[in-house]
Amino acid sequence: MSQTARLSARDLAVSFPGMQVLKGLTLEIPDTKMTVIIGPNACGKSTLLRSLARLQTIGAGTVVLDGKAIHKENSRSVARRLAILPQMPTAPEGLLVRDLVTRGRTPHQSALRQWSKKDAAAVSQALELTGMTDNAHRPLETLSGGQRQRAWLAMALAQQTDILLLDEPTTYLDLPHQIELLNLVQRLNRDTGRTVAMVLHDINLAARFADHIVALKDGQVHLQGPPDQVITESTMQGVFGLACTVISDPVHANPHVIPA
Amino acid sequence: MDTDMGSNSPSVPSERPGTDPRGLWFCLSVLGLVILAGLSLRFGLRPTGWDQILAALTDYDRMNPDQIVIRAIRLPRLAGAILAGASLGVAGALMQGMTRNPLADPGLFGVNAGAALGVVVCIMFLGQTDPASFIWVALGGALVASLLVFLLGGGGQANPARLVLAGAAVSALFLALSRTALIVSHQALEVYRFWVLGGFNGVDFATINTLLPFFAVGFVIAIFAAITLNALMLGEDTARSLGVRVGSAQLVIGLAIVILCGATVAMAGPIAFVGLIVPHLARWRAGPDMRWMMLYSASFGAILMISADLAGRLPLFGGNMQAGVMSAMIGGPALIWLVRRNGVSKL
Repeated sequence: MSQTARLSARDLAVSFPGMQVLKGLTLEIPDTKMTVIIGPNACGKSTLLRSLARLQTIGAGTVVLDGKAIHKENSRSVARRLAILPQMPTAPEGLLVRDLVTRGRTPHQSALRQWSKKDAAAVSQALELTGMTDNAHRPLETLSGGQRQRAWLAMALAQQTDILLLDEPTTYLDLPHQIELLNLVQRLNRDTGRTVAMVLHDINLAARFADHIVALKDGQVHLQGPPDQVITESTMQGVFGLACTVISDPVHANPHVIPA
Repeated sequence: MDTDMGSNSPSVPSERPGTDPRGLWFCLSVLGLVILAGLSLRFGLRPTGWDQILAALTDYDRMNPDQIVIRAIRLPRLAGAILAGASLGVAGALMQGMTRNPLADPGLFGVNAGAALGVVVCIMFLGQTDPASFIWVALGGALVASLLVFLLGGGGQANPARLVLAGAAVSALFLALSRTALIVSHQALEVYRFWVLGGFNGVDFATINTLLPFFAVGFVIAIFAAITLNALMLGEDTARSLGVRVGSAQLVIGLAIVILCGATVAMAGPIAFVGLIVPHLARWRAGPDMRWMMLYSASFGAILMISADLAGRLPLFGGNMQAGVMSAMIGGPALIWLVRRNGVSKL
């Protein structure tokens, strides 16, 4: 395995009481690309993403960021290079969008140096990129689901990391807002060169937005590669047990799954 | 990473302390604190004038009885009230922020009961009666109680409801143990009876000097913990993602709570309600920013404690009602009002 990717997992094993979730999984997250992890429920998608972001304690193997084991590294130093937006984060009542985004600067701040021009610029930029500048002074709970998710994304962007992990960022959003959010993430990936890896449930959205797809099954990588190599009838059958026809999307030309 | 610094970024009131209403309100609360402190030096069983207060503070005459009362009795009493109020307020804010539980309170979570049991043991078996000598046993008791509550509450996966129940159980147990001990020892009861009501009339500068380093350590940790708490309030996963070492942060914050409560209990007995009510009052002006919460909780806590101590000197309450009793009498209805006004804010 060539050690080129900044973020990778080697022989990763994670267990929960009574169940082994990841079983010796090895994976590289390609730099500056959009990677989407797919797989059936309980295949370990979220556990993998959380392990890659050192949120999950691992049983065996290593997650390597910039050549060092991430679980042994200084957490603040990691947080300046890698951000993850977890599923269903919580916020205290009355928290303004700008204050939420400001908290993305935590790994760059210390008790002695609490706020700088660089912090202010990062926050303004994150608000602008996500189109939340006009909502900056609204409390989070007054926003719609789509706006709220963009506010959380802005927080992760304010962290100014080269690598961004998103755990099912489209959950609870209706289709237009899912597309809007994924378009935004794709634009960030293209414009700022951030490496993005995310878990998505919708295979067709994964096929449309991913440069690289990782299909997980039973805690191991079943297949990975560009969408047209991974999203095939045999993979769908093998990973999901789904009988389907895969056609070429007439508009975007990516593979499109039509369940039988 | 592209670094297109947003050159036309709008002004940002909420992140510079000097430019938003929270700064003004905080100054007002400090002003209120100063006024109350003045009143607290002036009023008591012995009437004194403002000129005597000024003289006692600037040009102390050791032969003047008025000035002796002010300097040797009322001033340490005032300092005790400020330290206790600020400590309990900050400890409550730390606890509510860390557990994301609006009902978290050093009293409800058994910390005060643990410290109190420590003190009872100290009075009974070591024959100590001086509050300054209570500190280590109070800290020990508070620590044991917190660990018990933490373990009973589910350890690392503690959920708010279980913590409250565990706190109630541990409080009840420690209180029962204290009472059992007191039934056995009549002499201990005499010391305890006065101390347990929670008051500042026994406080002198020697006690305060002994306890001051503990308060100082607690406050310093609280200030440094504020940024961490801001991240922790977004959930543990998000906090980790932002580079917070959640376990050690909780340990350090827990230690600060134990130190602040232990020192307060050693000095003035277990004072109820302040740790619960003050953070709610503070949140009303500070919002969800823990840095402001620390400042406001300290100032509001001190204000509440001085007010309680002052109100206890009114003839209506026999001229010398313990501040701990008064703070519960003020704090109880205030909490009911807060809850009815707009519900307790979710954390």
